[in-house]
Amino acid sequence: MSHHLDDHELASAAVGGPLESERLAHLEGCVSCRRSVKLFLDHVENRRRTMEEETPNWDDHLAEVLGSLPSVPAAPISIRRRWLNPLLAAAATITIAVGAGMFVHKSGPAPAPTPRPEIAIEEILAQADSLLAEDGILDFDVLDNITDDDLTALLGTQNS
Amino acid sequence: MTAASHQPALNERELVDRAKGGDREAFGMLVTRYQRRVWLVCRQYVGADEADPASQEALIKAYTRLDAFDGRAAFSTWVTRIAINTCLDLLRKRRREGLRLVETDGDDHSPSLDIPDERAGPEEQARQRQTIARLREAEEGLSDRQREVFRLRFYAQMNLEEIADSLNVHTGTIKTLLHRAVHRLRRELGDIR
Repeated sequence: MSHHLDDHELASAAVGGPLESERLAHLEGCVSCRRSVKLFLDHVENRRRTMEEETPNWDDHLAEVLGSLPSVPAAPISIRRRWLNPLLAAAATITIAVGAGMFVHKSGPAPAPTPRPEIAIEEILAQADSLLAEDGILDFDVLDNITDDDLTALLGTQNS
Repeated sequence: MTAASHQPALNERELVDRAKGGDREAFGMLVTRYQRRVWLVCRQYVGADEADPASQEALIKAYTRLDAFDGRAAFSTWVTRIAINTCLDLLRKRRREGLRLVETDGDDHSPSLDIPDERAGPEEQARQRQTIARLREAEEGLSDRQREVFRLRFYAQMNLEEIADSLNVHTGTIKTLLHRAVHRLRRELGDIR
């Protein structure tokens, strides 16, 4: 004869779980194992019966329920609810979209980003200053040598 | 006289359809079929004292939400789910209000409620009373989920598939939880014969 069912196998037997055929055969033939399973189930059944004693009078219970039902079937409310949430969600989306659009329009187009100069401006200005500081700038030496009288005579000729 | 009373042999689907149309008698027939189940489920969550109002609230909710019942699950499963959610809402409300929470037990621990089999002799009755108290105590040592599944299976007498559907978990998970619960309870009660 095979050995008795272990605790897990007995638990499995108590809940109607699967047992290997050999173990099932043992259970069917073993008074001790069957008694162990039955004893537990009897304890549970005793406790369940205590709960049955607490159950209400079912006619009264039914009357309480029927007496508290709303007079109008709930279907119209539920249909309204079914559409209400998607409708509110759509309205909120449109409102947000329109609001955002108006805000963008009011603010004007975003300014184009300023291109970063490849040569530093300070460097260019420094080069220009150094050139202007030199006396002998090409094509400007004529003006350097001219006298005020010459200039007056020249301007008087152009005006006449 | 309503439509339901003309055809006493209406099946569940027909009763639901009629109740959706406002036939209270048809809904009453559904309540008659399932109020015991709903009450026993509520009993496991909120205890005996609050099982009556909780189960009534659950059944009224079911009526007001009948249009949401699409018939994919059995009506019994659907109404059981509503009962469980109603009880969980009640327990959350209790927690918010700072009232004593009995969600882990659902019992009021009154020894007078441990009613043994009256057919048994005095000694046997005393032994049964002791065993019931030990079992109830041992259930407290289970995890919340194990206790919930154990009670729905053995006290609310739901089958594994119904429990799985009602709690929205796989049947395999229910089997595992139940096995562990029974294994632990058997160990706790080991010396009681």
